[in-house]
Amino acid sequence: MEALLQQVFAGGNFDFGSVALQVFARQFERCAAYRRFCEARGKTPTTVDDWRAIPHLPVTAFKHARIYSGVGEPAWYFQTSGTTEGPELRGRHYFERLDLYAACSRPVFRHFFLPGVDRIPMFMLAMPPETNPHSSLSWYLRQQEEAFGAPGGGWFVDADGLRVPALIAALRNLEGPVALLGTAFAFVHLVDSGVRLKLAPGSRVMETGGFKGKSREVERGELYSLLSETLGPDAAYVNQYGMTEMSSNCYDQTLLTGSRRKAGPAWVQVRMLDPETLAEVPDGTPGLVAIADLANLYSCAFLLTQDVGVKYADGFEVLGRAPGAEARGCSIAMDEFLKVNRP
Amino acid sequence: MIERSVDEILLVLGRVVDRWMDHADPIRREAEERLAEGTGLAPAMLRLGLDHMLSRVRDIGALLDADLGSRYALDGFVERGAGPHGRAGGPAVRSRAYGPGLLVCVFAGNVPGVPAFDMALALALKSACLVRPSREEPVFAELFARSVAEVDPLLGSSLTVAHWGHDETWAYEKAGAVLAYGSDQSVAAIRRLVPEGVRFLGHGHKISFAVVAREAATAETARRLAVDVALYDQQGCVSPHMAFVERGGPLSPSAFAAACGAALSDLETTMPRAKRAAAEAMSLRAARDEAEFTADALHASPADLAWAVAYYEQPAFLPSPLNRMLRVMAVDSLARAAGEAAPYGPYLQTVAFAGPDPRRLALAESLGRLGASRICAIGRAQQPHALWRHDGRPTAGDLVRWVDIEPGEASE
Repeated sequence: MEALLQQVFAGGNFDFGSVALQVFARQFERCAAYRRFCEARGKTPTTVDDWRAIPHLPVTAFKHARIYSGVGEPAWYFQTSGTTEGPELRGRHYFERLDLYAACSRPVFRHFFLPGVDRIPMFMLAMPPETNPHSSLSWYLRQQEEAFGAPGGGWFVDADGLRVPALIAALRNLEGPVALLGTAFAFVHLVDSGVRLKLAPGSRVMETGGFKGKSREVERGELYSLLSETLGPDAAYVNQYGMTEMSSNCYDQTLLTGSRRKAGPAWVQVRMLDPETLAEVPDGTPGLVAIADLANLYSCAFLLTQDVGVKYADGFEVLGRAPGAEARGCSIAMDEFLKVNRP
Repeated sequence: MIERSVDEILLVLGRVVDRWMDHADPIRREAEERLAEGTGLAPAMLRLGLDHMLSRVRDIGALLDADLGSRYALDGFVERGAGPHGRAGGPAVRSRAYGPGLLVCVFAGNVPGVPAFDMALALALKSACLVRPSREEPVFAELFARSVAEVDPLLGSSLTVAHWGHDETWAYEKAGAVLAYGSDQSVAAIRRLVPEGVRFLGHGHKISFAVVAREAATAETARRLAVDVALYDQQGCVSPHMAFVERGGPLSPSAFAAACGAALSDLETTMPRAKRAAAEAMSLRAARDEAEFTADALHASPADLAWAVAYYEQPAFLPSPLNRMLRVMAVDSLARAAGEAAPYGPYLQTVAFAGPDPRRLALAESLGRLGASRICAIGRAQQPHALWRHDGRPTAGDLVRWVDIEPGEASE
């Protein structure tokens, strides 16, 4: 299976449906929590013959159950980040080994973020893996730095937050194009520092993730316009859509076609599902983002997120986290209640 | 002020209710049709809901007697009633009650028929009523006003339904009292618009739940509880979010949860749930997914989000996302249920209870202390008693002001 996936990651031809069914059979057999989830829906490898009918595991399962389909003990796990509001449970994504994870991320990153670029100085607005070892983002950024980084960059977040003066000093030392990569809230902190720079043409920014209460919330278009005041008019912006529970990532196609709609690699299928029935909704209609990421070999490849998205012929858009419903009547609904009564 | 005797007004209101209770009456038929269209509620639920809401109007006379001592205090001075230890201080005080003159009501939500009671109460208090219906359900108030006007044009002319903006103050400037329903935020926002000195009664969001004593842990209780949950898809403030079920009864708490699921499944055929907004479906899907991995059992409609019962061995005060999702918590004692609710006192409202009366009394003592304002029978959560004090306040009593005549001669 690993060999097959390595070929897939290297660009080899494959039939998504048949590989998905193989991955499903393997994960059904190896992961008890996922097997129970499937059996409760009457779906087993013998009854499912179309990959679209494979049950998608809600990502919340990673918080409450051991979602592991590897052999023996996992070599490593990555942990979801909490929000600043309260000590909530964190999800864990276990890996039997990490080589597949490394292999699946680099070609995709290169394709969407560094088309035509071999190496570029990378400035990470995130903690390095040494200080945040279970962050999948830190690990992923390190993978890209090792493969595509040029001298002059570095890591600019520590336990006290974004090191703005160090970042500015390092940026001013360089003349050519640079890449800045990190969390959306770190970029908000950069904007809020009031600094003014002028990055060289060909520079680019990759931001990912939500704000999670760690900075003020800024709508993405507004963030980019604020950033162009901070970084000058010549940088390009790419949003990466990923999560700890996934191995692969999707990206804006800004640098390829100019489109902000997202796309991913061939081994990732993104569909939007009706929250009521979990049937696929037509293109152009919002639904819950469901992801089949075949690189998630050691956990579960079939995920139901809590994000709302819309799919189009040329990519998909993520509208944000599914809104907590407000009660229509005079009862208080759970989400509102939890908002005001956080432990 | 409406120059009619309270009995005359109640007579008219009685005739109005008669019309509404006649399911063939054109106004009733128009209401059922338009409400079904507007709210998406199933016809069976609408019919039952309208019957409940309108029948409460018949109770207004009894409520006035209870709240004011006598309904006739609205017609003239009446002797103030004696307490349990007889009348204090010699000759009687005579008192007369005046309604607010103009009651302004701001409604929220889509539970059909809710405005009937407050609009009728305003009339019984000889007052006009200006109503802002909710955006979700603007139809009923208009139809109710029309039905009153058809029976009695003068009373009908005292009812006005209007839609004004969330920052407009004109509606409140002439009010004698303002009654507002909605989220805590929207109630607070309206309060800020009401002039100083105008009585303001706000009913913010509340949480209701059920408690099942072991003696009553039966399939019949589960069926009744399912009705309380299914009516208006849990949107009412009286709708139970969760049920604390005591261990040791005919049905174990776990079997009770399964029985609730079966009952909700049955109700889906007779009283199907309403259409849902996408955000509600997403919230419900997320809560169900969470329960699948955190609850000890999840009974749920397989193909859609019609209903769900999550069962927990360890009790916690965890509200529902509503829309027919019930959480059943096992408890070793009723005191444990009260203990779980304790931190949420200001939110508590109705506690639907099934069990022997002495245990009901003990539970009411502890929950009443916390803030709950109504203990009712399971299966009756949606039909408050005639004398209901909404959120613990005298419903009619809060809307009047009194004039007292003390005995005429100075005592030597």
